[in-house]
Amino acid sequence: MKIWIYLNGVQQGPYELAQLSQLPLRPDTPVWYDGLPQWTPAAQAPATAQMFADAFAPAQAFQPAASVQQQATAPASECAPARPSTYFVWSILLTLLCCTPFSIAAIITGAISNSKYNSGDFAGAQRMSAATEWLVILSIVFGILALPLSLIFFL
Amino acid sequence: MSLRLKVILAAVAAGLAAWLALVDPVTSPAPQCIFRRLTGYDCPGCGTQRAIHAIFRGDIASAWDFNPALFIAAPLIILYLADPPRLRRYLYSTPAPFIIAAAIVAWWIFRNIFL
Repeated sequence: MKIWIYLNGVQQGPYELAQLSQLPLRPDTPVWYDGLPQWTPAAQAPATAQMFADAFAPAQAFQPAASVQQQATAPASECAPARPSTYFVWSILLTLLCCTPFSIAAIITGAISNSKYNSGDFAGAQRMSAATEWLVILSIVFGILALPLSLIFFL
Repeated sequence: MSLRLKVILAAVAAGLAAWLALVDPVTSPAPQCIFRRLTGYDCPGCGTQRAIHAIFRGDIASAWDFNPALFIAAPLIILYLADPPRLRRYLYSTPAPFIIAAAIVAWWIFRNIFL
């Protein structure tokens, strides 16, 4: 059986059922294989549900696709929220140009946000993304404040 | 990000680039790294201004000497900006940004001990 999964914001696969146990699959990770009407959370798809048999699964009725054609054209986009911004470009640029402690902290909080998104913790990813945004703003303010200071030192 | 903000940022970046193309930061007043001023040690980004100025002069060898990190960070930043779908699973894999952060800290320590 060939199984496709929607992980890290991209469609991946096909995998064999045995391979899935080595992947960071969560109960809510969208999966699809021939026979499923649409992308389905792994815990609710018959073939993969046994992987989560021990975990608590919400009693959610399997809902057949309202419009299979529509699902087939744009399947995965509705399964997971968009990845919140990680501000990698900002934090790397600021580290290189202004070098503030905040910009290095921003890379790390961005990395944590990214990691949380990859593991399916979308709310946590959103929180860390917001923290990253603040650190980027702090870095810019720090950089601008340091500018006249360094010019005074130069004279 | 709104279009207006992008235009403003592009204008600021172009202005800074023009400044660095015209003025040699070694011999004229230029913003200096506060960390270096206070501690005497280089930060991971120290030398970037001089390196960009050297690139504008066409002197790639000096640019590499001023800050080789620029030559690694620039393609990385372009990759993250372009965000090609084919590479997304690597760029946004869980270890990738942690490796970048660790590399920056390692470079920071390395350049102050060995260079």
